[in-house]
Amino acid sequence: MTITANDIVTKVCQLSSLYQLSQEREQLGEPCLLLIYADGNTALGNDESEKTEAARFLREADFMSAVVSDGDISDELASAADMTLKADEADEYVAKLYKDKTKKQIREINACFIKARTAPAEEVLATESRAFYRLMADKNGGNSNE
Amino acid sequence: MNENNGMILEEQDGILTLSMNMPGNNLMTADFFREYEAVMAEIEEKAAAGKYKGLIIKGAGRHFSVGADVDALADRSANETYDDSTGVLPEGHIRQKHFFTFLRELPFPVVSVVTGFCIGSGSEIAVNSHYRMIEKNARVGQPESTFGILPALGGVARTIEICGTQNAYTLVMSGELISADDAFALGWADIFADKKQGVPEAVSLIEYISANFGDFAPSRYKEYMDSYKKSREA
Repeated sequence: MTITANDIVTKVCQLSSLYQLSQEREQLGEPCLLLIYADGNTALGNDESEKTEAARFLREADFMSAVVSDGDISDELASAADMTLKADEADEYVAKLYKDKTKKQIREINACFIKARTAPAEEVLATESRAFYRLMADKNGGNSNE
Repeated sequence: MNENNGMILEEQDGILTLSMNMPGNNLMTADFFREYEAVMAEIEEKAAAGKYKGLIIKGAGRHFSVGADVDALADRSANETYDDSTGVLPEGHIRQKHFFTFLRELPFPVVSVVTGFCIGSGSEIAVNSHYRMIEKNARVGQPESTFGILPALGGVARTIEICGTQNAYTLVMSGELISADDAFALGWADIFADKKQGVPEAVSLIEYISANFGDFAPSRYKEYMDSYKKSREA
């Protein structure tokens, strides 16, 4: 497994299964987005136990995740991550998403999507409101509405 | 019916129609929000007291709404008290958000007819509605992220529900505006309509739901739309 990371995005290549991610969490850093480059040989896990653990890891992760591939990937791989991207479009997509945004802003927006993985809409609504006031406080100069 | 301000609320054949007619193509200033909250309170009372088949929300002019005045938003939030250690949100925000998100709980279908620009908090009125009819000239989006913030009147939660995680993430995080065609393709809009056909389409949908399902159950709103679309194909 090869890992390259900057402050916002961590890219993982050459992994045989997504289960490996859960076993090497510390090497992934603190990304906003994890790009998992997969091919036809990449599995979710080698058995049901590993598959369950890999899916749990991504479901509970405090970052967004995307499976990136040149071709078709299995449904179980696609459904384990938040998104799927084509390999030749991934860099452009990421640049478009995060242009001119701070890591704090990205993480605040991410928090809504992460909440939505498992929580009802009412909790996502509350998450977006609190994120709004934290970001607006920065916009207003730091602590003006705290 | 309320016709003495920038929010024109009318009723015909059991269908309420709200035409937003505020200055600057429904620029969401403090005046806009004051008028909006007042008319939504009136709609909430009517919903509790009367029997209506549906509510249509539209711009009175060319545009649905160009969204919030970001400077005014910053001024307002600077005067609000939010303590992140308790997570208790300002009362003004709770009230304002209620008058967006309660649309989804009304006991009749709420249909936004989207024309022209439908941006930011304007888009949040639309996504909190049960259904969106989009006319082919429209452009929609949630550009809040390009101003350092995010949509907070249901724009994130509802867009996820309507468009799915990936499409919603792209819309909210990029802040880009998209065409009516793209909005329809992403599932943001339920029906793609020709110019001037959004309101007739909304009336058609409301009449269909009323005739075929009787009492409207908000939790079943997607099921009603699926049935309506099948009936159009038959």
